[in-house]
Amino acid sequence: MEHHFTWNYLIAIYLFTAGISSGAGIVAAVGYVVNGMDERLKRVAAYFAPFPVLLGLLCLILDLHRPWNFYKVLIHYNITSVMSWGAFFLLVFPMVAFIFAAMVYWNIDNVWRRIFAWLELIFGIAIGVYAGLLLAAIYNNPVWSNPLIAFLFFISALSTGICSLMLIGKVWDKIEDFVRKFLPSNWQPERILLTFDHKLLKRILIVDAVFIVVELMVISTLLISYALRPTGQVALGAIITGGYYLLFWIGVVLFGLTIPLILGIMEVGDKIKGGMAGIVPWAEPIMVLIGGFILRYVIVYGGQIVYPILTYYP
Amino acid sequence: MAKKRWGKIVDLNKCVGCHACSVACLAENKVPNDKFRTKIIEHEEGIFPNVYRYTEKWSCNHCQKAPCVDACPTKASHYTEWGTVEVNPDLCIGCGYCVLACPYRVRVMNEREHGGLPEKCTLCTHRLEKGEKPACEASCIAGAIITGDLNNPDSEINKWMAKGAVERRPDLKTHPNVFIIPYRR
Repeated sequence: MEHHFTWNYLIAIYLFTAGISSGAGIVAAVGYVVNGMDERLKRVAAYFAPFPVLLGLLCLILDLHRPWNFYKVLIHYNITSVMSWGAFFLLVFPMVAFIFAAMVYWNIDNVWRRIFAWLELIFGIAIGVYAGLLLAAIYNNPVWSNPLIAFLFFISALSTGICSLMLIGKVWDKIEDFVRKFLPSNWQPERILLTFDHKLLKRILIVDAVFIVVELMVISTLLISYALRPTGQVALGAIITGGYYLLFWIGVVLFGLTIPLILGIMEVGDKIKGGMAGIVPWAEPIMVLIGGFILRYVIVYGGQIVYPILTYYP
Repeated sequence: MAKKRWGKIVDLNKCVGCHACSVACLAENKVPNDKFRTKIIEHEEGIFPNVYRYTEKWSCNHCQKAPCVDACPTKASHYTEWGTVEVNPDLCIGCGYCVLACPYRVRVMNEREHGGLPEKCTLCTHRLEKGEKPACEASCIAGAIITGDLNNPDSEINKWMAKGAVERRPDLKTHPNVFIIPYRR
């Protein structure tokens, strides 16, 4: 039997960008619910959170086979369908995130900002978990029908969200100058100036290292839970020994998790000196982001090259 | 009079794997290019030297508790009044979730230029309602397929049920309306 790829790389991009938005949104919301987070970090997170998921929504609509009908998913709901829940979350999250970003920008400090911080936290978690639950809810698929997929995608969403904030924060002033060029000369808002310094970057690297360790543990647990099932050979064959094994071991585990973890720990301990100093705040988040995308790619495609047990007669 | 519940039984002992049902279905339902609503899958079983092979007609099982209907975000996949599962083109957004959710892998997505709907068996209810046989049953050279009203105790299909028809993957608890009589050597 040949493989029909019903879902392609556009779905992987969508799962990836939804994860980044979820992670950034959770950081922003936690920053305003709990006191003590750095002002620059939570502001960058609040401004950045609504945008990646919009790219993901565009990919999602481009992937539909009847794209002119896409609005039907927003008016017809099916309570038993995970995708229907996801459509609701994806409708609400960008609105909440935009309103919250506007409140942060204009320094509106009242009870409404607190309410929207909680809403952003709830819908951020919902989107992060939903991305994996969408795949985990499909049963009789050896790779996807595993609840740990949802947890893995959620941890990866937090990690990639934080890493994208690290990148954005490092070059925030340049982004701001770039955006101001496109605004009319009579409407130039005052400069915000939020570029992260090295001390803040190191603190973010520590948090990200914790998430990477948790992610490695979840991946190993996932592989064991595959192996314990009757269809385990098929699932492991698609991901770690055949099919997409190179992308998984080199792209995700080595390039996306292990090397960034080592780099991050070395940077925090000031072990990188000479010409290579200052490269980690660039290399670490870029590697984690690429690894996060490859993880989604491997899971989305790996779940479609496997054939489940179709026939079984008692 | 009781409500009709259309069902189908495939006798794997009679099936010879000639693909006539597959081709007749393409002609009857005008299925776009290289897609199939029903196809033949081959089984090779046993341990050497006692090996054997047989063929099985593979198409939508019209589950009474269908994972595709549960998965559809817009309720485009729905149960008809005869207990079969069909897709409403007005509601379908072509997301492909039902194709992936089907534990039997019987659905295939059409390309956008062919409408972008998931391609699946309708049990030829348009022919059954006129009193005709479905295309697959009418074309079967071995008489391995029977369709009929499962709620009518006198129907031919219920006589076949007594011959030992079973569900596919009963462990999934999808309760299909399509049964098979397993291959016995």
